[in-house]
Amino acid sequence: MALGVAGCVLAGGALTNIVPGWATGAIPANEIANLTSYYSSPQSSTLTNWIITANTTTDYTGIATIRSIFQVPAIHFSGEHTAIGNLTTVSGKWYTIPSNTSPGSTDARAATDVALSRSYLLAAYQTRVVYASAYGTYSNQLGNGVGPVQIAFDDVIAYTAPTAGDAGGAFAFPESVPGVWGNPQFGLIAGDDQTARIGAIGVVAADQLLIVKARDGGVVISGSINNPSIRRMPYVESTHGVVCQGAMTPVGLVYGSKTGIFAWSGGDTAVKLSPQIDGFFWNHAQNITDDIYMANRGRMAYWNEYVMVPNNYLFNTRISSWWRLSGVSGVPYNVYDIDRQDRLFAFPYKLTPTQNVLYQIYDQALMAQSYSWQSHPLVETRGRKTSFQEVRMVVTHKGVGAATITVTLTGYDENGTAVTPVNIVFTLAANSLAVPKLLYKDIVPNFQAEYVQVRIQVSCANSADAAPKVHSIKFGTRDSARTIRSS
Amino acid sequence: MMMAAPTEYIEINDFSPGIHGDYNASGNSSTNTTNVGTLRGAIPAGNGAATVENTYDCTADLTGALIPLPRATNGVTQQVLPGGNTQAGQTTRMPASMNASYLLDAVIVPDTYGAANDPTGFDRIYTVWNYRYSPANDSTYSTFVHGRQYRTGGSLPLYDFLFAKYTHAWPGQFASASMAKVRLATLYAIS
Repeated sequence: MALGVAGCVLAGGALTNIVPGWATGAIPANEIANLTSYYSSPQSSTLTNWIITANTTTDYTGIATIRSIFQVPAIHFSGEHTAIGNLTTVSGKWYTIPSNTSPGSTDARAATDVALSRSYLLAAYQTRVVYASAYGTYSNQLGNGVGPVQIAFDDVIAYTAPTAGDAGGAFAFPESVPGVWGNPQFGLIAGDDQTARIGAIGVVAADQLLIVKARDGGVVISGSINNPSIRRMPYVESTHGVVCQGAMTPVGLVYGSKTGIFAWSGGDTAVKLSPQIDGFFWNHAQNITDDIYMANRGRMAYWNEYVMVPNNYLFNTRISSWWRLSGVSGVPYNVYDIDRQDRLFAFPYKLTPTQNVLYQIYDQALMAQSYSWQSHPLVETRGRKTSFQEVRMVVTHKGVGAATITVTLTGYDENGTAVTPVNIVFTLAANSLAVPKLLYKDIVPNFQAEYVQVRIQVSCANSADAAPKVHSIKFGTRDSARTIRSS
Repeated sequence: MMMAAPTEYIEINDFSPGIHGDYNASGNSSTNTTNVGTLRGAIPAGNGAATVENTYDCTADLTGALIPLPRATNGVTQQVLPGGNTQAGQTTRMPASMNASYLLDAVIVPDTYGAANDPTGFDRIYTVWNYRYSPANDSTYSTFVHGRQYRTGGSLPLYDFLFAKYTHAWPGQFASASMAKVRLATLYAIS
């Protein structure tokens, strides 16, 4: 059943991850002073101007549109960044300016502090916003190791009251920590014999909510969330401490774990989609040394036949295999989303003085101008020195410009020393191959090595062209005599 | 010039196995050319399997042929928020080793106030960033979160909608790994 929430259509609980809740207050004067002193915005130089800019931009005039612009006070912070608010003093606050009821001015409502619920992993479910609340898993609020006694509760499943849609801010974010400081009817501890954080949430049907925990599997919440049936799912792979935003795909709800990428499609187990690549390969932040960065482990997306996961990997559901995007050099993607034109937006995980691309756009109608593929050591050459005599390729190139295919052979001699690589270059003329064609070249001198790897690099000269298709590559070989080892 | 004729052939005609890796897959550079880890054991998929290194922007079709993936085009460019160290007055306020703003999350939201169901229209992009800063220009750092809206096309007006700052009682804690987990104490929506 399609449910409407805040202008977003939720088909059986599709994700919006933006909660149009409102809480109000004023920005303290000292904070404004601080911000204006060191925050330099390309839009304006002062906070006041920011507000004016919003209200006077011709694209957005009128109350309704202004409300639309600022309807995002409760952006999802996943991962470690979900620790919002200080539960000891309840000092977490949301402020929204302009007012939701009177855009352009401060809100008429009282500037009430709102205790945030340390929310993460938001989902829409049964006309509610459902989210994980990490109220019970902190050790102490300030992380100095000497704070309050450690508490090890479960993360709680919290949810809002049902909403009929965008009712001018009536769809409020919970104004208290559910189950503890607030109204307990909005808190639900699921699988309370599994004391662990929640790593993934997915709505797979109008009456089925999957909760994957950091260990010991997960639970499925069925029926009305006010009177649910909760079933343990011990054979669903845990996330092992990872928190990420999964994706709804035809192969199931895809989520990430430190042991790989998994899909749950309603059974007792989750299917591993990445047996080919062990470990936490999709961790985009694995080589980061600065301790500041503890952001979420990404937002996945399903784009046509591809499941996009962080660290530039994608799972091709048609052929059940993994591939990779080159993306921005040195800065992997960690977030993906799709726009109304079915374009994929891939966001590098950081901006640096030398990396200023906010996102890259992929369009199914525009294929890559170049690509690269590299084999593992060929089976026939493992421990067997082989002489490569010739190479044949069947390719298809259809373009207005020329294309180049470079085949590189690398390998080792019998002493384990890398042999000088050899490049075989094929040049395809413009429009020359509208159908598959056989290319042929001798390898002169012959390339003699064992554990030989093949790299195929394909590129086009004209930016309007797609890189050629490689149907097959075939090497003519002979056994090669080896020299006597020196030792 | 004569050359001995081949006596055997090695053919790769099915690229569909895709990338197979081992723990070497943890390298985050898709153009890494190191040979470390490439002498792996037998890959069940055979010769059609690809390494993590040097395999990018391609996939296989249903015939097993190697084909390009969709192409990336750069979207909006944005300097380090809130302007990087090149901005006046900010020379030393962002730690040199962390002179970056880190993307916490981003979502694309249909512009419900645009033309309804317009397949060629533009949407809104909400991004939330995290960065470290030294307001007093000393060794005490704070963690900030900044939310900015972009659009997927058109005139691309920017709006800053969120600002959050972590305040803490132990100056200098951020310099240690023990402070790795960011706690946000105060959130402001800035318009």
